[in-house]
Amino acid sequence: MPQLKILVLSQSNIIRQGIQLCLNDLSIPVKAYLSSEIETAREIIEKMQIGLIIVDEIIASAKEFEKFIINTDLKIIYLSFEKSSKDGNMSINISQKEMGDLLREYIDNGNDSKNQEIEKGLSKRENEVVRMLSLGAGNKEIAQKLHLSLHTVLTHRKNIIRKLGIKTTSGLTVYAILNGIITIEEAAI
Amino acid sequence: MKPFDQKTKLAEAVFYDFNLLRVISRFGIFPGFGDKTIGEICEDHEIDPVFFLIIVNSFTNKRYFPSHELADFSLNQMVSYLQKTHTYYIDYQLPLIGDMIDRLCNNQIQANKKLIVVKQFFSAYRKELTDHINREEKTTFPYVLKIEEVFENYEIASYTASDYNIMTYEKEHDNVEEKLIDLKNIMIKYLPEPFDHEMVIRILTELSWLEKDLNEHSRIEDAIMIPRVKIMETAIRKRL
Repeated sequence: MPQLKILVLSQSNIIRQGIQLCLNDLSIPVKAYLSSEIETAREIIEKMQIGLIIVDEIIASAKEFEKFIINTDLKIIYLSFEKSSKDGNMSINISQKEMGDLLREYIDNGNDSKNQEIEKGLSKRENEVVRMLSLGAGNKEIAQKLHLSLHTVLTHRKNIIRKLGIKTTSGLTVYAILNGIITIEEAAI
Repeated sequence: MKPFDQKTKLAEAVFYDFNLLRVISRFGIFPGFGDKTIGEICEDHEIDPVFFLIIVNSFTNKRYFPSHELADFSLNQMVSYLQKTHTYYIDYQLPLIGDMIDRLCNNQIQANKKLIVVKQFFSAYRKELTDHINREEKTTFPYVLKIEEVFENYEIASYTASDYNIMTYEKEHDNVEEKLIDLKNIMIKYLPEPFDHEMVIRILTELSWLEKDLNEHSRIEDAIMIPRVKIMETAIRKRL
């Protein structure tokens, strides 16, 4: 198993150091890098070839972070301050064993899932997100209408960009029209 | 690859990278230059060979970085070259692609109503790029020229530290290529039939050339012009 480089992004020193300790105790080859803000994180990601980010929900909901992750291929685990969590997020109360399982899942997915996804094209949900984005909806609106968390919407957007190779929203609109996801008339509204 | 120098025959450099013809035309050099060396041609055209080689070498080799020559060319020449490339985009390359896309959309034999969105998308991109160019022409270039003037003539009185500085520009130097890359991507992967295939290939060829040229253009600005301006800014601030 190759070493997985993880960036831990949180404003809290206790959280950063805590996660690093937990990671070191796992029997998985991981190396943790710590950062308290997005600018530094960006540099570390570029220099160290980070494969996974663990980010706390406060930083994750910043506009700057949204913009940043939408343009990367990186896998992300969101650290939630809720007692339990879903969608592959990590709860602050996660046990050591659960953390190990979660990371192993990420490492395994990273190795073989990419090819499958390319064959499949966009999922039904991703198509819905493309449709709404093309009609001018923002992340929050999409989350509300499709009953998803904001983080899940962001993950969809990331996957859409990776699969289609289209980064701009207006480019997505063109794609949506050319492929019959929306009509020209709808887009004009 | 060894960088080209003044003794290299210009034809050799062009054979190495055919697109160089489009670059040297901005210096008023066109096919028919025979077996002359770069040095000779620069002399004929009264071009600074140091600067000419920076442009030619950085165009043909992405990793080329003019370390020792960096101090030897004037920003005035640099700005004038960048302005010529701007004119080339606005007066030639963008209209050319625009016309081709018009013809694609108006094709009666392979009529396809949906293609109109490609045209709209290109127009939006064209406007974005034009705005970006205008900002550089109105704010950045005059600033760069002024800095050089202050630096060389010790006219510190006309320089105020609170002025726009090159860091502002660096931050604003947004990615104008995103829409262009999207357009290429869409045309390569997601264009629904029917359409004029040959025309799409020609449009893609011109879009790709524009992309390469723009990348090179911003690389020159970011890697060569900005560092030089920064050095001058620092020197001027020390004199204040």
